[in-house]
Amino acid sequence: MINADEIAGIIKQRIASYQTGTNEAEVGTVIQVGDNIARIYGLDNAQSSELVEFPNGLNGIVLNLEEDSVGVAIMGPDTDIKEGDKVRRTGRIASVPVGDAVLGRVVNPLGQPIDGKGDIATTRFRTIENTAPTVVERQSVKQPLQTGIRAIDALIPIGRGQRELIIGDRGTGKTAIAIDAIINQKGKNVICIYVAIGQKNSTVASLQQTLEKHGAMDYTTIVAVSAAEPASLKWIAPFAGCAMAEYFMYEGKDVLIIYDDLTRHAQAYREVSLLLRRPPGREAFPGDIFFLHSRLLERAAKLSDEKGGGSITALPIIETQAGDVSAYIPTNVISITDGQIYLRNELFFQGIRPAVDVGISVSRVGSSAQIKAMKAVAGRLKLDLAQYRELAAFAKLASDLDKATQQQLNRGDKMTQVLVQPQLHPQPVEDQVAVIFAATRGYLDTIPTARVSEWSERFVQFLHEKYSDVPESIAKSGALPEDVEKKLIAAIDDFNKAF
Amino acid sequence: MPNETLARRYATAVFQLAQEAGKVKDVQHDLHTFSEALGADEDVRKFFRSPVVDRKEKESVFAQAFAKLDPVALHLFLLLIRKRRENLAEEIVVQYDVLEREARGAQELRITSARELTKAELDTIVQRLASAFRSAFDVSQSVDPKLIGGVRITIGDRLIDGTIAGRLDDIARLLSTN
Repeated sequence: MINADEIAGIIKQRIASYQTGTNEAEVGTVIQVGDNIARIYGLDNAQSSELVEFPNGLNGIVLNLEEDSVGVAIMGPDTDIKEGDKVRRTGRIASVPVGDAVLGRVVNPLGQPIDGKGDIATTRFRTIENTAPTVVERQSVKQPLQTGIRAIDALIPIGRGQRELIIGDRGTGKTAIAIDAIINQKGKNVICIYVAIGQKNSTVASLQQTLEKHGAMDYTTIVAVSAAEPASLKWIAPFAGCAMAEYFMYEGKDVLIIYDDLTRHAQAYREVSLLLRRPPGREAFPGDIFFLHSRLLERAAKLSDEKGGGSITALPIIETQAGDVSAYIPTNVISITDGQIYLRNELFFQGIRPAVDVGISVSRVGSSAQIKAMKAVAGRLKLDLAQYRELAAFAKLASDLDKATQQQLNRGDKMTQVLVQPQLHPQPVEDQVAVIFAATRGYLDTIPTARVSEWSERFVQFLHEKYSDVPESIAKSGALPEDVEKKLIAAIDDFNKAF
Repeated sequence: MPNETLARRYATAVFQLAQEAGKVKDVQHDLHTFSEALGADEDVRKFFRSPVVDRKEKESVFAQAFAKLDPVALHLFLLLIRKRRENLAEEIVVQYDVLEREARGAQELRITSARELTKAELDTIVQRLASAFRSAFDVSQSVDPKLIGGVRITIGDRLIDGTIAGRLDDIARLLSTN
């Protein structure tokens, strides 16, 4: 608490530093206001996406430049704005605070703190709209970004600088994957930015607590705009988050940014566009909705070594309706991103969680961003799972199956089970390699399917206790040479005897 | 305000006609005469605006009453009656003034002060601004005691605020943020 003296002191200081002089500004007049859109007469020289200031200190962003008036999206509640109010140009483009000071904080899309932890102590700002790095400034994606989720790291690997879409119906665990990925970045020198667009404040609060509990808030910023806030704020939220990420990227750091979710972002932009009377297109989205998302996701990049080698890995989230990926926004974002992780309702209810459909999920750049050991064990897994799915569909019709088929089905069951993983338990890649190795080589064939999760959990424990040099060696070299492989097999045999 | 665009089309046409005839000032004077006549008498205004009155009749009444106006100005108003655009009349006059001012290379300058300014004070302000902006001005002056002190100058969109009320506003904002 600050006491009265301190308040008086602050006021005194403010008044002492107050600059007297004449104020010069370009002003316009509000002629219409409603639904967080204001039409302003005058402001002949206003630029597109310039910030303007309303009398009560609220800001707006110039969106439409028309013959006699400009259309402005108001960044906040419009209840205090009246017709005839004077609006002044600021000559600035919307920007947000950036730098280490924003880490560990929850901010709104204007960069103002909403976590009650005081001011953000930074003098650095970055405009929210920036052009994406050019071709010469980039290099190809080559380093893995480990999410700690077996199904993803093994089958749909994500590289630093990649854009991987997470898509699925509501309640299929899209956010859970993103959270696990954030938690797994602990101690890996990756900065995380989570952009919550149009979510419940309670969801954001519990998410913040989860991250805090796992010590992940230290390297994370949450940019949150709740469902109750104006569409204009939701629209700029991902751009604000991306600006914060870009600052770190150009400092040579690796950043993971999550847009949760772009469906609601598109809806917010549709709202703003329709209120500005821009012509609607398919599903009433405006014509530039594709450009809106493509320019946002293009800003994810792996910079060249001359530029410091930093990266932004983007995980946009899209919510589908009843698994329909051919709706407008899902198809748009699928075509922009470098692959997608597809989550399915049916798998979720079968208890396969994360409910990743490994058959249709892809990563277009991923496998060049996998460590050697994982590449070696996962190549086999992918193939076996594909064969298993084909057989399983066929086996539904057949009554008796020959021994080989039965065995293949059994192996497939085990492998599917191995990819099941509880939430908030990301696993280091060396442990993933050991478990997946056991499954693909058939060491789990004799374990009852229901006990596979238990097996993998206890095996990892056992491995670290008795054969700790195996995971250490994989982690260090990234490869699985023959001698280590032999040791791993010995460890599995040893463990299976007691299991 | 929504009629502004429309009014500007008419005003441009009238202004060009006046320019071609070399009677820009005369037409401007006559436009203002008409607009003032509408403003002065509510009945005249209602009669002019009313859609109920027969157009032919209205035309002949106005043609007689304002026969002394410059034909360019008079014909504009008769055209407005014929086209049922009577409500644009005042706005056209405003837009005509804007065009006329632009043609002269002048700008509109509004000076608002807390008390009446003396002639010498006003001249100093206008001269200073004229040299700063390298432009001529059409000056209009008003008094608003709410400003407490100082002057507020408006040139087009540009606002130069040197009033005490403006500074108080600034202080209020400074203290209320954060």
